[in-house]
Amino acid sequence: MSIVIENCSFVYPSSGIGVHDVNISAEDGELVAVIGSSGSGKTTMLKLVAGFEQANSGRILINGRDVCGVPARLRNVGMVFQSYALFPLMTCAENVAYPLKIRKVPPAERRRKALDMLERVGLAAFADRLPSSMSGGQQQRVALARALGFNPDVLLLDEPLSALDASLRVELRREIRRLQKEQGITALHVTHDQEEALSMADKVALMHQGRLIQIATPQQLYDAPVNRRVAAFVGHANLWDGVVVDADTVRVPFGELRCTCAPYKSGDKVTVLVRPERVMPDPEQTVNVFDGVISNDSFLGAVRRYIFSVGDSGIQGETARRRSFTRVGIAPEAVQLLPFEEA
Amino acid sequence: MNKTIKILLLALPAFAVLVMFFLVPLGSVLVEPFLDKGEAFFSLWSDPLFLKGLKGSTLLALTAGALSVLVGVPVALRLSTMKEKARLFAMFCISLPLTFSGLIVAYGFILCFGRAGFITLLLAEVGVSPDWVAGLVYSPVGLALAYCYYLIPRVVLLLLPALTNFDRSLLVAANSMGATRLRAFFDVLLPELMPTIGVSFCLVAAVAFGAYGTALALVGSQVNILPLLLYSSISDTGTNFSQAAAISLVLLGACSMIMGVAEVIAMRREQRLKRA
Repeated sequence: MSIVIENCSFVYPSSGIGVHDVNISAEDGELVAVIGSSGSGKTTMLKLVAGFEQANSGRILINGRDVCGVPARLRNVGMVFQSYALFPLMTCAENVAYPLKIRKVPPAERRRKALDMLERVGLAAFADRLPSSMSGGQQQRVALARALGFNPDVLLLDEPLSALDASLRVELRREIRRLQKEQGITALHVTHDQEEALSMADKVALMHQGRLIQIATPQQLYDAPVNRRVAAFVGHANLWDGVVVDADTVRVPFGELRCTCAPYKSGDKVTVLVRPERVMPDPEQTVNVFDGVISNDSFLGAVRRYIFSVGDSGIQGETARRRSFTRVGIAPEAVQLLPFEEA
Repeated sequence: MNKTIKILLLALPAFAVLVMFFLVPLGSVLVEPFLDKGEAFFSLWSDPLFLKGLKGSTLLALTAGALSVLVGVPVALRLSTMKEKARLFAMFCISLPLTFSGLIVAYGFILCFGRAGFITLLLAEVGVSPDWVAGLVYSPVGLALAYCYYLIPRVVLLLLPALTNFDRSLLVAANSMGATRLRAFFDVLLPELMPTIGVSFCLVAAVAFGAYGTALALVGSQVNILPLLLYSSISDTGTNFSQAAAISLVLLGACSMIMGVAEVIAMRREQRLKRA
């Protein structure tokens, strides 16, 4: 089963915001995460796939079938909500069995299937408990069991972990991924948590102001962002305005950096990206070496994150080293040039 | 003077009012029927007029309660989906009948639906007999309809907080699982709402059971209900305080019982959620 969103546009009549000409595809068994800041249109995108909103133009194909105009209840889509959306007066087993009840599965069989799903999420012992007596993590597991229990064509996850605390989030990420892979179901996962997206997804789509900016594997998105916005949104980044001096040199506010400048030409304005972990304290290299002082030092346990001041400019770095240093280096291959954009 | 005494002194006027105008009358209502070996109270149960009145009041309370809930639930549902400003305005309009005296409501009904009422005459133009309309208004059914006028706002006011606090993502979730809107309403929203509906029904039924002003103004003595029987027991034509106290006791007991049912409904829901 696959999800294909083709040139999809939708505008909320009341506010005029929405999504514009979005193209996202998730192949069979893939988990695609959609990330972006608030108002970027990621949840609207999910609503369009779920059928809660109908696209103004474009197509949405679920397993090759165009579902535009098909009501939500007929799309056979499993959905996990941020608020869990468990029915409070139904037991966990009744919650999981509810979609089966709608599909007229006989009571004994739907009870058996519900118990089986609860077993798979480790909550068989809670089958006859009401959701209100369970923790947030357990409730979300039940919600996941309910979303998968009726063999939906695709799974939609609407910020399913954002209401949980940090340690539980990590645990549930693995749980969701395990179940999604076990079931081999194609999933679209909306989240504002980039770490969650990068760690779980086969592909990550980044949206901004209703438009898709980039869709790629997590590694590609981090290592080869298409523009300043993606680079800034995904992970930490040094982003400087620069001007190409020649084929191997770019000028940045605190000096010149050696790197490969192609396809840019001499005089072109560019945005220069260097990831903090690529900034090396006390380097052995002789190019792209800068003297300065550490002006801001945050100890984060495994690493320390610092700002290294060179004149009036700052270089953000990350290192596992504990001792102080007065010189940093940036390997030429760590420097990436992106199209120029004002900060 | 220490602080406790000062507080007690400040509370004294309120306490005096409570004793004079609530506890003493209530006490006399409780005691009076049982004087003379409870003759007044026990003789009520063999009095056909009283039994007919009890039956009439019960039917009226159930009919008015059911009609008010039937109308109030959809109104509250609609209001809960409105934007806040529009909802507040609608609530203001809906609550207006609560500020009117029962007499005004009754006269309003007479002006609209009486034999020469505005709507009765309009209906006569399309062939509906004025006698039939007036007959309906001055009957127990008409009385139930008049009661609904100020009972429906009570139902709406009780239901609205439950509806505005209801997590609508539950309906969306049910819909995404294949449920139609109607099915989601019956499977998800209605069970959540039932205790509040039950409590509203009991509350308005209790009000309808004991209401008096509208009934007196609208139907006079044409309909036999307990509040009117009580009125006739203490009116100028024939005063019978023992009987009046006995009827009051029955009214008090019936209304308390109805409210007791409401409490049980609310408690059972709380207990179910706690047990879980």
